[in-house]
Amino acid sequence: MPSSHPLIELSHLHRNFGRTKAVCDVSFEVRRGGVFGFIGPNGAGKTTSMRILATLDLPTAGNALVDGFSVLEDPDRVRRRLGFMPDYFDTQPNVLVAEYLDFFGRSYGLVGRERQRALRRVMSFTKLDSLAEKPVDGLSKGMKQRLCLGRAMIHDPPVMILDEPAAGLDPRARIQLREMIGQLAADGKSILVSSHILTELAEMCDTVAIIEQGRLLAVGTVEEINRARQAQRNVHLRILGSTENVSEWLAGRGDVHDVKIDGDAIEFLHDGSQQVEADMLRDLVLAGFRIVAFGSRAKSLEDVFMQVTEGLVQ
Amino acid sequence: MTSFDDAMGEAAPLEIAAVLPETRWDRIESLLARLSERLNPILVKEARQALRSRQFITTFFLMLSAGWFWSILGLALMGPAVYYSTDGPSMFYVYHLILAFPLLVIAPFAAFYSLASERQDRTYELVSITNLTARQILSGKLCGIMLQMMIYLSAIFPCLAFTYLLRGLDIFTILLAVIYTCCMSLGLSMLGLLLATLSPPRQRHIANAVLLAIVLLASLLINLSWVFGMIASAGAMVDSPVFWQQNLALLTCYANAFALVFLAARSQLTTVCQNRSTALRIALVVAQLSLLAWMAWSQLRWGGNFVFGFIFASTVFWWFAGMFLIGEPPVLSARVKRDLPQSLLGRIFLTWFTPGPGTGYMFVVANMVAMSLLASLPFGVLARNFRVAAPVTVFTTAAPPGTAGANTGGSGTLVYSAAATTTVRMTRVDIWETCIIATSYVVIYLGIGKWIMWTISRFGEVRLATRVLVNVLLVLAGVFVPWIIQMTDRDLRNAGYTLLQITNPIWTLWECCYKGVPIVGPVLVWGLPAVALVCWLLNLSSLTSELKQVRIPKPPRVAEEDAQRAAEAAGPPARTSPWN
Repeated sequence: MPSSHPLIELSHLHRNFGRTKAVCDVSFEVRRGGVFGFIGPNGAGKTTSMRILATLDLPTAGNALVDGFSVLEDPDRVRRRLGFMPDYFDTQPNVLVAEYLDFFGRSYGLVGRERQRALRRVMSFTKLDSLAEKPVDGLSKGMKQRLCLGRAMIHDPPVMILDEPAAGLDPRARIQLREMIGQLAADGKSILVSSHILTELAEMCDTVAIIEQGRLLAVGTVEEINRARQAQRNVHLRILGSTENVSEWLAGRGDVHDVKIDGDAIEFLHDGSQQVEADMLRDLVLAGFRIVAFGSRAKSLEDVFMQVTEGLVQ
Repeated sequence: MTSFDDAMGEAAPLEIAAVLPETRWDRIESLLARLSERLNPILVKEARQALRSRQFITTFFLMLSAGWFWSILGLALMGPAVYYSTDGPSMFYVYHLILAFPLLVIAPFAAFYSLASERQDRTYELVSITNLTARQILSGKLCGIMLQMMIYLSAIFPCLAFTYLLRGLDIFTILLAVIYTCCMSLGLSMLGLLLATLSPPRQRHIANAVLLAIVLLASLLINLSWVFGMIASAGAMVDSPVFWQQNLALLTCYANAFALVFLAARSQLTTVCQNRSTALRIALVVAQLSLLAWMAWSQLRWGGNFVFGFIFASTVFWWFAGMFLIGEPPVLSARVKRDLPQSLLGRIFLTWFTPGPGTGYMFVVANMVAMSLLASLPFGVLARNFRVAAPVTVFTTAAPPGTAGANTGGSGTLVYSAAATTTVRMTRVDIWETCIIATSYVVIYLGIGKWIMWTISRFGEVRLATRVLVNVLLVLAGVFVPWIIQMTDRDLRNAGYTLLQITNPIWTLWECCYKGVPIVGPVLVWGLPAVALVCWLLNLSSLTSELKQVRIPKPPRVAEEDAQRAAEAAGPPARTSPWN
């Protein structure tokens, strides 16, 4: 019976390296079956937080729980529930793909048919079947990433931590990796994933956390963060006739900012909802402006990220 | 159905086909596969990985080639004499060299490099977050090295057997030489693994590699001289009971040292939250007790001054152990607190085995006191048993301790006559006083070291290297500062041992053990314990905070899982009747 507590829980986590505060008071939770995106610029503290969760590092203060077990007190129990895919690939000379996975299967305590099943399952899932007898050293970057994912999921853990899984992959491999992560989430695993490719994260994650200089700046869905930041929508319209009049008309409204005119096109930021935008379009038409096109879009994860972060590094 | 199950469903028919045994060979293979399930995963990995490595293949073929080459060359040199001469030993020397180099240098270094490089390139991190324990990882690595040793041995064993056919060597001596070399190789491999754990992760390990290389080459020389000496004695050593007693003593020391090194390496690899100290402390006590047992046996069997050697060895042993124990983190993890003794007797006797600098200090002090009592009191009984009135022992300063001369008896005095120039009279009081002085030195130096480390710990973690550095520098200061002062003073230069050397534990104990308590004895016997008492009292305050720590309950989630596991282990409820 599933427990009520979240599968991943970070509570006031701090990690200092000398005077550098790599992670500072970071707290968030990841629910069961959720894909949680962890985004931030280089050196923001993503990898450090993930390493603490993977029991590879210790926090200076605070705690992190995986399925209710503390990484500080019960790392052995945490490890049984966790699959970790780091942002590097370990060196394994003279080992074949099947042997590599077999070793980790054994190391996670899988025996006999159980391990054989796990091996087949993982190799089929990561589409490494045809490479089973290939040496690990000879694999391409994309194949190594798949193998690394396979290693992390060999013991079928309920929690997976993927640090920059798509780094260095070609577009096709990225799409395939995204599909795999989607499948894992559909299988009920809780996934914490970090990436620099924000468009991909936006597609696969239901919740994101933005971190910069070790501090958590925002947590929630992209819409929630947008809303919390009083986020604006980009509105663009094209008209027939003079754009100056429209610009003046828009400037008279309090909820419109940054009006930019580019030929017959006008672009501006709007604070309101889509309902208000619809009313605005009606008012524009009633005011006699000849509207050819009117469109708006919510801010993307990229827009939110750029708005929330300041590009600071430490 | 999940995507995993989909994938599994496709693979299932293949699996069934694969496990159905058909022929005898299939059955054997199936049996071997089942057996391999019980093997340590690290051993399986090492067997696959290391045996394919260029280093292993090159070493193996070089050994094989060297063995064959020497066989042909040796036979050619012997010529027709091969039919009647006893050339076994001369052939064996080279064969043993061919075997000893890979076993004593290459295999231990491979063990070191295997773990150190994994830690450096972070492969170890991924292994460490599996279900494997530090013990399994280390034993797997050791088994991997043993496998390599066996394969190396298989390459040269026919040659070793050939030397038996050449006469001049009995099979027992050959086996003994091989056993010594294998044991030594295993011990050195364990040392290599320990050194690999001492390198900080993700950093280079050049210093440790150089240190290990020096130790390995020295060990190779020791092994060669030992085995060649054994061969040269033409098996005479083997016939002597003393040889076997020495071997048994050596085996005890080897087992203790191996256990200590293994546990030290394990504690380095174990996560910080777990108890990394108790097993080591138990092993230290066992080592001390076995040393004591051998001292008592030697004293009973041979007489002489074994007791002084024991005191000196114990002092060095506990100072060395204490150096690491007093630098442990003062705060116990919640995980360790879950297993703290909670009964009154448990807290009285077992608290000293729980991690912490205060308990570590007290543990060393208690063991030094116990050692002193055990060394001095039974020796008095022993003297009465021999009907020897104090002074009990007389031996020469020139004679090696415990080995020189024969017991000539006579008017209640044991006289050890050897090629001696002067004779020093040792009394039972000397033993007691030496014990007091030795214990005082350990208490003082570790007490000061502990205080320094406590100060350092306020600014950050006290690393292993810091613990060693602080304590070694402290003792070196105590040794060399008065020594340099004395050597630079014209009057004191040739005065021998003076009171100035009171801070010099090495010279003082050497004087006590091999020349009797110096003339400044009263100052040493009363002054040093007084200072030791002050050091001990000053360190008590930090101990009290460690003693206040009490057992805490398991977190609810842990208790919940343990209960669930216990229920699973218990299985379904037993049937109470045929209808149940």
